[in-house]
Amino acid sequence: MGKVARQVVEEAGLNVDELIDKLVAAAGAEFTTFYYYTILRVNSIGHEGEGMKEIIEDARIEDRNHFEALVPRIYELGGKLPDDIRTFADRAGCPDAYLPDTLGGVTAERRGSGQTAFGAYPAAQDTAIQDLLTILVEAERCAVRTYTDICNYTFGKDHRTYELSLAILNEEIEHESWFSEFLNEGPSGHFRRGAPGESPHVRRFMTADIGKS
Amino acid sequence: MEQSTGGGYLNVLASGDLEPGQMREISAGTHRIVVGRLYDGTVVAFAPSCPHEAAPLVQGTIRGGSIDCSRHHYMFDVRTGENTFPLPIYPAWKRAQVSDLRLPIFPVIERDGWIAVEPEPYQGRVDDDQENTELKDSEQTSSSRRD
Ligand code: FES
Ligand SMILES: [Fe+2]
Ligand SMILES: [Fe+2]
Repeated sequence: MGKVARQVVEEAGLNVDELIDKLVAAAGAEFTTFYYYTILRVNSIGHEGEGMKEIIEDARIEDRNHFEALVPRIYELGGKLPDDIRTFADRAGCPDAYLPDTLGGVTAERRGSGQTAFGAYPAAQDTAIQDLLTILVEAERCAVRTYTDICNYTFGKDHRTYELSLAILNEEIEHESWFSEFLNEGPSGHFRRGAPGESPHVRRFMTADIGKS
Repeated sequence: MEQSTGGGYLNVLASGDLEPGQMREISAGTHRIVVGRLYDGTVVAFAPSCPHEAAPLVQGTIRGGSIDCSRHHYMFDVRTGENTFPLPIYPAWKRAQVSDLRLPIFPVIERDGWIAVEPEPYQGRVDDDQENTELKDSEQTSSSRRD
């Protein structure tokens, strides 16, 4: 723990325990998303699915990177990860990204109206791949909301957590637009990563990785 | 059909005290209620605890027509109470496990410079039928539009 690191944040008027809760929840969501994206990726098969594998891999690895980058800040502030991974998963700040019915070999049911702040979800069960993309894009949107919330919470008060959250937010916004592009919601405006999951924004916070290629 | 349960509207907040995107938790009758204003000016009123794990919704964020709970980022349509995330994208096996995820909504109007709520939530449920949802949604929206 960094005593002064915590003190300066407290004295800036932040509730550090509440901030730690937010960071543990965010780390939990990254960890569980990494797990679920592993399942979603192996099920991304067939004509369209194979084309998406690479991009799911970038998002999957970068979410794991986000977990890695968050953990040091949790401990610096005097927090810790839960001793039991089940507790950790239950505290995850975003819901589980389950395999959709259409990819689980189940005949899917009709969804509810599915109106979101951003418009209606695509009609359910158009194709398995479209259902898969909807899960992915909504998971990224949850991440965008999560880091926007942490940025707002820390802005002008906890500079280090703010910068870290902003770096992650930059990548989550890119992830959202990649999947959104596959759903024909418009171009992402990005090119693919130079190397799988290279985390151009978050990389500088992954200090334990320095020295690796 | 949704009916308010009587008791009449109670003035709870001056209109000028609620900017777009803001929420306030107030008491009305025996209920605690969150009153909020959407970015299009519409006033909404809903129960203060998240139907998921009871986090205080006043600490969440208004996004479009939904409240985004800050704890696990579930979202609820604040005019119908319907969960808009993640229920619609859960697979059937998971939806079957989830208990009622519906946010109680209170009748609310804005008149004479005041925001007024009925201190009992709507009793009717907006079912999953799309036509019904749209009908009831528009009824509620018109009753809560700004003067
Ligand atoms: S308590 Fe609100 S989303 Fe979990
Ligand atoms: Fe992430
Ligand atoms: Fe992501």
